[in-house]
Amino acid sequence: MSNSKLYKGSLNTIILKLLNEHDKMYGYEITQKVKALTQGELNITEGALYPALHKLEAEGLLDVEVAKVDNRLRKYYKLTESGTKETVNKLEELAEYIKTMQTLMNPKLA
Amino acid sequence: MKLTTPQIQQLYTFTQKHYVDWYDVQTELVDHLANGIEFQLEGNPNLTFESALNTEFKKFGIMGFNDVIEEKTKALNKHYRLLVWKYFKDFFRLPKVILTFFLIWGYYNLLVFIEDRFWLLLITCFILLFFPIKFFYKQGKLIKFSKKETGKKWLFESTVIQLGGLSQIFNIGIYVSIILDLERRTLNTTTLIILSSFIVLFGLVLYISIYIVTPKLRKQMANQHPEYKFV
Repeated sequence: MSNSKLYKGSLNTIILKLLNEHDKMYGYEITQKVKALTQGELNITEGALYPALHKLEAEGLLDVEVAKVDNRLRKYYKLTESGTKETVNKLEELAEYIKTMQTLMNPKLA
Repeated sequence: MKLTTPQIQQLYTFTQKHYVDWYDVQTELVDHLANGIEFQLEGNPNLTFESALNTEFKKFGIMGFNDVIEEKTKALNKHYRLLVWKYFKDFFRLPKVILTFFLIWGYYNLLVFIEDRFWLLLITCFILLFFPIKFFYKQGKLIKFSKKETGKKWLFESTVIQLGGLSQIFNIGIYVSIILDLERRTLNTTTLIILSSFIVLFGLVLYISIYIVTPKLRKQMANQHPEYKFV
């Protein structure tokens, strides 16, 4: 993940959130989607994305489906039931974190 | 512009040359590289396939595919161990907990009532060693056969044969000398209960790994990966 190390801790949340909004996605699609949504501000590197996906799969948060697309095989990821629940928790955690950071950075606005 | 089948094959060879031997890992990397290359070629049709491939590969960083393999191995091992743990916990819930305690109680009684404890412990260790060896032998043959028939190696299979990393810890050979040494000492009830529990729980973990988790994972893999069904 480039741009900033600050994003690193949120990679799992970003993946879970995207998969929550789409039925299923594959690795390359996730990198492109993030790039498009953030207008190129955030670049998820391949070296960070796949380990994160595999870890989430191992924890039972993601399910996998391999399908033939054109002349090659494609591995799709989708949320499991516990993955959907975990997405809610992770998003709440992130919102809380953002709120705390805003309080710290901008005490007058808080 | 879509890549041709020979170009996809070229990508498989490329990942193999970069130390990715396993088909389940290669598949995902090949699709990723192919998507990136197609995207580049759409933007600049004059670009060569090789140059687009190099650009895509560089995005994986100086370690190339190593990080992906390393993390994938860790993730598969973790998944395996989590499943073992899940089924192990079942043996401490009703109704299976009755069987667990019955086995511990039964083995404890054998230790108490059998005069020649040495032979009992030796046979137990032999049984606990025989089943994993039989499993490793059969798995090794299966992997070799699959490689010969399909030309494919699966990282998933390599996780299974190592019992998700548990084969290092659950090797009775490490504990044989300690167990047999106990036989020479006068053992009190507590030590006998601990010894019985250790033996029974050890056997349970092996049973769960070999006869429950391994077939379950195979089935899961066959459902996920169309190519695995042919193995």
